[in-house]
Amino acid sequence: MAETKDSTIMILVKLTLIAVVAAVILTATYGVTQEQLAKLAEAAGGPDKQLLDIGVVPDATKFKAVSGGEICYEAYDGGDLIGYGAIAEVQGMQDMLTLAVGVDTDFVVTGVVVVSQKETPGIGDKVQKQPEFVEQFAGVGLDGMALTGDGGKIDAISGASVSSGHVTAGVAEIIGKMQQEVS
Amino acid sequence: MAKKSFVGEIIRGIIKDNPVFVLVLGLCPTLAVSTSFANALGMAMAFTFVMLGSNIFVSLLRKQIPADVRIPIFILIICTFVTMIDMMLEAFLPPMYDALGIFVPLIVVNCIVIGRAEAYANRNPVLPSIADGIGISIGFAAALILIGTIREILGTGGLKLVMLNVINGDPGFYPLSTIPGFSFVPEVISFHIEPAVVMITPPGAFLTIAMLMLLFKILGDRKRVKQLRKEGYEL
Repeated sequence: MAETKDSTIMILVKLTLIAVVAAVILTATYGVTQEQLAKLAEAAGGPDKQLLDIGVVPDATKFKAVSGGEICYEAYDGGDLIGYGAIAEVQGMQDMLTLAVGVDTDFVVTGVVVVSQKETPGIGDKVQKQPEFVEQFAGVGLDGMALTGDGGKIDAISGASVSSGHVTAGVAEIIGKMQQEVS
Repeated sequence: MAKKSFVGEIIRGIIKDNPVFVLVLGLCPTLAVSTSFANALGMAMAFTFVMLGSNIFVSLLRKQIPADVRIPIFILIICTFVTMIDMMLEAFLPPMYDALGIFVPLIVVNCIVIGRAEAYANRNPVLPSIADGIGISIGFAAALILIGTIREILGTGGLKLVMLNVINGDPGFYPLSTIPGFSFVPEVISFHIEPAVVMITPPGAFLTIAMLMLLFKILGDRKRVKQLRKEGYEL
């Protein structure tokens, strides 16, 4: 511990000096990491490339943003419009869920993928780790998009009905938004 | 500084002053990120970086730091290192950054780091402070990895051993088998037990820490009883 009693001015000078040095170091780190992050973002591609990689509209060969839309992308097989896809964040049990949803031109689901989630490990994270759960969304339209307990067509994962409900509601929300953006 | 006490300081940080089991500090990150071996290893590495950086700089500046504002200065130094490691993890190890989440920024208020700055680095020269930082970091890492391993085995029925490695210029945590000489280690070691999900939830962390503390206490007490018997006490 410093034995000398510093004057207020000295304390201010020292605090400022340390803060300035810290700022310089952090600015340098920021520069280096931003470069790397930009590279990563480029490698991942935009949502259109991600949708193609995830394959929520199985036959699609190209995705094109809907004009004036925020999340919705038109899915093309060659030159034919075969459906729509979107990647969006929706509310999960504790944190946000990122879902990729693909639908055909009648807005019947062709595929759903949980891209990222922060549900309870070992319980709610089954919505991502048990592919059978999201597979049952295929062929379901907006009218059946609810858990069987609520009159819909989606079976909740036993023990993880809250997370299952959030995914189902999220898919319905995303389809609703896509319909709005397309019309 | 003699070599023996440098090593002695390190060992003291691991055993006698073990941050988790003896000082019972830093339990928040210990509980939160010790769900698996991989997360524990990532957290331990981030922690070591901050712990060493903070101890070195607090010790270097100890004669310049005005006693009245030492806590803000410690926090400033710790913050700088935490922000650095946070930004670097985000850029270079994105999966680990996602897994550790809020707990990397929270190292700023980790009571182990600020505790060592106040109790040790601020009163000792640089070399012993480095030794203290290494010891405490190894102690924290050992505790975290031990808890993480137990919870992963009991909670998932398997164990994924990983190590920091660079493959095709891509740094990341890869299975241990990718390290030369460890190719015999399977990617997932299976234990053929029914997983108890509670073990990877927060209550599982409390149970694990409690059992380990009990175990270490029993071992410590036995050693002490033996020692006292040797000295001629009737017990």
